[in-house]
Amino acid sequence: MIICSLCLPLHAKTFMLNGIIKNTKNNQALEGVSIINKTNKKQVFSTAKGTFTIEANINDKISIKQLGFKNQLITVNDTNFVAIYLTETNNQLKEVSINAAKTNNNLNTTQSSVLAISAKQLNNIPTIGGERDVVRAMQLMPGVKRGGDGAAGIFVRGGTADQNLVLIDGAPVYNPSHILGFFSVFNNDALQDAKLYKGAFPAMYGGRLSSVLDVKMKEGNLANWNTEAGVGLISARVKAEGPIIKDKLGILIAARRTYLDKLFAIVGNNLPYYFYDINTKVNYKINNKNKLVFSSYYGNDVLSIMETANKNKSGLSIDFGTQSGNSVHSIKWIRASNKWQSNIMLSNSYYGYNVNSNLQNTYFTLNSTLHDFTFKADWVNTISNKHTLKFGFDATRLLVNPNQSTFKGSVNETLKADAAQFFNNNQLNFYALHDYVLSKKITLNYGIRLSNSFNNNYLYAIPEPRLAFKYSLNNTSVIKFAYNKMSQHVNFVSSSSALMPTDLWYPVTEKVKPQTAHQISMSYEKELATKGISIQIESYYKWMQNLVEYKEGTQILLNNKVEEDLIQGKGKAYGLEFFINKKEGKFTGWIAYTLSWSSRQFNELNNGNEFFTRYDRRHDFSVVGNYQINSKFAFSANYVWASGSRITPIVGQFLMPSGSYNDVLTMPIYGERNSLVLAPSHRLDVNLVIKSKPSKKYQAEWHIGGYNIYNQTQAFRTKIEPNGAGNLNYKQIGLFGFIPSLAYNIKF
Amino acid sequence: MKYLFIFLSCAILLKIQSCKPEPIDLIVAQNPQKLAVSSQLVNSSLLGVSISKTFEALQVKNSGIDSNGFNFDTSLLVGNAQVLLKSDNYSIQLVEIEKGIYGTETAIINDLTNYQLEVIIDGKLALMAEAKKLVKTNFDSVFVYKLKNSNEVKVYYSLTDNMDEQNFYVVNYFIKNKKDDISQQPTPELIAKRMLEQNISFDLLTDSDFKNGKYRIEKPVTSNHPSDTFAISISNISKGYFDFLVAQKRAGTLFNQLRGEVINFPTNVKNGYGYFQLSEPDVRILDIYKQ
Repeated sequence: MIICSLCLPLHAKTFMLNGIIKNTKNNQALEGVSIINKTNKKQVFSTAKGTFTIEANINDKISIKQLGFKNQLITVNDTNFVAIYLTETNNQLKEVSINAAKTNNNLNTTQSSVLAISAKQLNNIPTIGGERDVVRAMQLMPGVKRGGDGAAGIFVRGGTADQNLVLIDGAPVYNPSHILGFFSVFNNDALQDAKLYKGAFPAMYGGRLSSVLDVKMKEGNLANWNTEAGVGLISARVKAEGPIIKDKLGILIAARRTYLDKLFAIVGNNLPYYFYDINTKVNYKINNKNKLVFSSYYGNDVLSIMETANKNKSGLSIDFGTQSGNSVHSIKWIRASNKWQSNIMLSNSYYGYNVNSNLQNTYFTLNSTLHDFTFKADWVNTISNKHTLKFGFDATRLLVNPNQSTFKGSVNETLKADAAQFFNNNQLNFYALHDYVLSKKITLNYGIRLSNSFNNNYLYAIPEPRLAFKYSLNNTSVIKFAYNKMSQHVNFVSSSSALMPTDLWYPVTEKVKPQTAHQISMSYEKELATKGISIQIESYYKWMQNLVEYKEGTQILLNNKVEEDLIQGKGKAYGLEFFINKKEGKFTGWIAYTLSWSSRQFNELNNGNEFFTRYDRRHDFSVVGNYQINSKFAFSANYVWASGSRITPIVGQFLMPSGSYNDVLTMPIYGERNSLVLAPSHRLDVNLVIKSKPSKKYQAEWHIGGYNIYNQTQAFRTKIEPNGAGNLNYKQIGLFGFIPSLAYNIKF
Repeated sequence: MKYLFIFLSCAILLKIQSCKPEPIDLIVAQNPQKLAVSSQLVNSSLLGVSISKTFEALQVKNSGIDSNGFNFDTSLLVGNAQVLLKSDNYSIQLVEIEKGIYGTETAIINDLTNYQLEVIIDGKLALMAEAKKLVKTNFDSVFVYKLKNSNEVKVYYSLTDNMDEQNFYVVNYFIKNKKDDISQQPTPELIAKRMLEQNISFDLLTDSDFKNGKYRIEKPVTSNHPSDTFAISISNISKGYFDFLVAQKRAGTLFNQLRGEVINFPTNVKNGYGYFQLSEPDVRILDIYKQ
């Protein structure tokens, strides 16, 4: 449906056609829609406000495409502004569209090193327990490595899990996972859009070295109420969205909770763990130029063990519990005019955990909290079709209070609580960038970000230049180059590969300097438009300074002097990524392969010698396929093969008297750090989607599938086991074998 | 529907449990066997050195201490070695007291002098290490007393640091302390102790622990079996040996053992492991009930 909202006579033959693209269903603007002038081969993408500007002549054919929506072809007449409404192609329960960037077919922008997945692909990708997870799906893409088996953390281009800036509607999330890292905090029901930048970071992004995962939630349907509900093997969820005031004020509420604890209770067993999260979004359209958006996420992981003395085998009464969770709230004012767009945002992100224990009247509590208050302002000025200027700033106040412990009772003599430490950090960042179309073939994007962090004891000011360059070889292929510098002013101290609830964030201090990284990347991208296939080959080299580790054996928990044990070193990562992505047709999917190296050097570790990182998986290969058999059935599968992760082997032992000479200790001799490569991991996951016939009232959908269907061991850790002949052997243990999945979704 | 779902969920959970994948063998190449050294200076002329062999990671060797004293696997001890202590214009051969244990009570070990330890086996130099004899540090004062109606013993001591240089100290507490038996009925105290594994048998001090050059502490030394006597010693040790003991302490914590934390032990031994050190302790032996 095309509405010509404003008709003006055109006096010139070639002119700039302006427009806006919206979703027919809910009147929301659509970002990232491809607009191609088939006559002059120009291509642009709609902005976050759904607007676009493209060069056109009268009678030119303009093609409008967006995954999940019916394509449209319009003929330009004497109108210089069009409003275009796109209709969704099917009744997918998931609308996780994603991808403003749409980099794989975005041959017209300088942006490279960014990943996106379509709603349809994400909906059908097989996962553990049928829990669809945008972060886990990203693990199947090039340049993104997973940690241990099943973990939802990502390691991007040789970085660590904490070097990923995770944003939910622009506000940072400090612990983006549930269940010790097995599921991300993102409820797909509420997701609108997600992008993962691996490099070539636009100047508006900063604060982490390796990646930016920018997740946007749906804004709430302004036209109609609709409800979705689903139940899988792990969690049950519900989402409702609709207008409070039609076309003016919309709301979305999505919630989910794991329920295995309830099931276990029914059969008389005890599973003392669950998590839940709630997403809320309120969208108030003040007028055509102004909008207010409130976004909220609240999630918690709860473990609670309560046993009386007569129930417990040891005869002890136990009351033990932990809670860890995030709450992220933001309010954003979006203002747009023909040439200017501005976003003003205020956000508060909280992450904390607490442990409470009462063991035989001995009380123990441990708390850690982090508060992030951010004010952010961005402006975009579309000066002309060739010049776009973006600039802005953000100010953050970070308050960290780790390891606050209290003890009461008889144990108090043994465990003494230290005075709790308190860290504060202020960040003030400025950026400006210029997107400049130099010629038909060359586009340049250059900018700078000035990252500042300070408190009474220190001041760090780090200029971060950003440069991206695109050269079009022809209408279907381009070469891109990018350079950027990033800095990180908050460090994560963890003893594990996954983000654990007890891990601690520490801001930079006088002693601990900000981490910095430089990255260069070069890519070749080709779009086979007729088959909907894109090909991308990209190489990168990243070198990092002031990386943070801790000295061997540092006790993180209950240690208020962790800073004394933090050490800083350097690292490098480089690699080559291949990506073939088929986005259209009955069969969709991709093939991804990464060849990469990642290493570190710390004077205090490994005798000062360089060593590979734990997840330096040399080869990482994945194939993802989805076949839409008919309107009722769809089948999808992914196959993953990756080199094993690394561990430090014990290569001998010796005996020594203890320091007090009252014991003889067996002391291990370690080989080079991370020098032993575990077995490669590979698995095949499948998923079958069966949809009911859509009725007027509802549509239902079954997902039946399996993770690791041939039950292959994904080496996760090592263990010493007797070999039956009186000797011991090392064994590589996997965490998950075959896991079936079953989910039922309904939409009404 | 509800019961069907519960049934399905339970069936699937059982299935998951039954589908634990088979472990994969892992071969870890082992380092060739080398020697490990430890040493203790009792006074400026009495030195003991032990020489043992390293062994493979998957070999189980009983070690520890029992009522008969040290319980070494004697096959690991290296006998018939020529153990020499050398410095400029000085050399003395240590006598083999027991298999793998060498000593002398006639050594001349001077402060602030570097000494080399050489171990020669079958006429070949098997290992070498070098250590500097640091100036002995003495306690300013030491008291120890037993709390009434309790097994708890408290020790008070004070020290003075030489503020002109960076110093490292190890304080050893000797008390007849029955080894914690993990299988015994867990008490909150035991669990807490095991949790943090604050090894009360020795403490490590650095300059940062001193205030205006003075260090004073009253320390509880909990024991279920206190003896009538208590011994405490202090040694002024090198930075390298301090780091070795720090690693030893850290390796002993339950948290680090549970998570398999990699902790390398620093060494000053060339072509071997362990630590050769020449710190001279100030030892005080005190009768608890007389204090």
